[in-house]
Amino acid sequence: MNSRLKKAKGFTLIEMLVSIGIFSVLMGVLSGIFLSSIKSQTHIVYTQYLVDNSNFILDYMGRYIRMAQKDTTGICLGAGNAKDNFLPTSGASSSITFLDYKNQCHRLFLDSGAGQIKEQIDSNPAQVLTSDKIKVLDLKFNVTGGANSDNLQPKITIMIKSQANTTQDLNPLPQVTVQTSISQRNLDKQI
Amino acid sequence: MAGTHRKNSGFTLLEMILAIAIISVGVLGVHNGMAFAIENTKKAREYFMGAYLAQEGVEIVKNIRDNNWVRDAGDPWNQGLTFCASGCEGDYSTNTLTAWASGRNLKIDSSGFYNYDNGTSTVYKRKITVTQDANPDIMDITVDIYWSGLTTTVKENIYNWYQ
Repeated sequence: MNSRLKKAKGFTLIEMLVSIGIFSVLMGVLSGIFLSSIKSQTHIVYTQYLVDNSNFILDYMGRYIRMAQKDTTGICLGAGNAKDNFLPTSGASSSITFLDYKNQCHRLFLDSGAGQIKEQIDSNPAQVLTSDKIKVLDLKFNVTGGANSDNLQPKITIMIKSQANTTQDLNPLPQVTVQTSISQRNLDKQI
Repeated sequence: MAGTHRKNSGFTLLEMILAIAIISVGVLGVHNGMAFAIENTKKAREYFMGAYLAQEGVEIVKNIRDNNWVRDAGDPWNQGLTFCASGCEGDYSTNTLTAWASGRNLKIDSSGFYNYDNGTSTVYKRKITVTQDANPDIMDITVDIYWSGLTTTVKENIYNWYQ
């Protein structure tokens, strides 16, 4: 009985140290891989937010810009710009104003402080178009041929640069810069 | 009794090696899966940007056609497009196309726009091909975007609808 107890008493110190050592190395490697997987996954999710939001915004703005019409009376662009299509009539800017196909005075612009793209219809309060998951770093509209007298069909180039809006340490923060151009559908015949 | 105890006292070396091997294969599998997902997200982002650049190519061609009408100078509806059967290039800042030579990379200028003249080179090349359809009032547009061995293509027809 006495000898049986001695044999069954447990692990020696060396055995314990070795097994704890192996266990911690293994756990260290495993949790490292696990943590880096979680970080990559967050990175992927934010990249997806950026792509989805840029896609929605470009589609939404593109539809209104494509269907814009000549402001024959200057009700939207002001009397000085009557008969024009877009304000500004040429060059790059962070906002654009035009008479949309619903005869609303439509303004699309970047609120750079908030990092959001907003729209304002007539004199209603501005509405936010982007999700709070993303921060819009830059929005530019480059207008060619927005005036009545330039004998050019209006072409609007839109550039959106956005970044993940998170305080998590995703070094580097995912960014997406996307650009496209829209040629207005209604012919801009000089009147 | 003592013999039984010795036999049940732990794992053999072989068992340990097997267990560690199985765990490692599992963990490496997950890790590789993750790397694959990251690579695909990167590609999806590049395809997304490429698709909008391709759309821009179509819009540039439509804009040139519409300019021919807006100018009202009696120009043919497809003026400036007929020489692009074997490829052209054009960016947002000009109202004309130039023949595709060996293909230039698009650059991003200081305001963030893709163009050919100034800024830092990007991976993207854009080839705009406009061919005459069997019907003289239709032109077929094909825009190819090339980058890092990948390609995305957009096709569109434009019509001589305005009299």
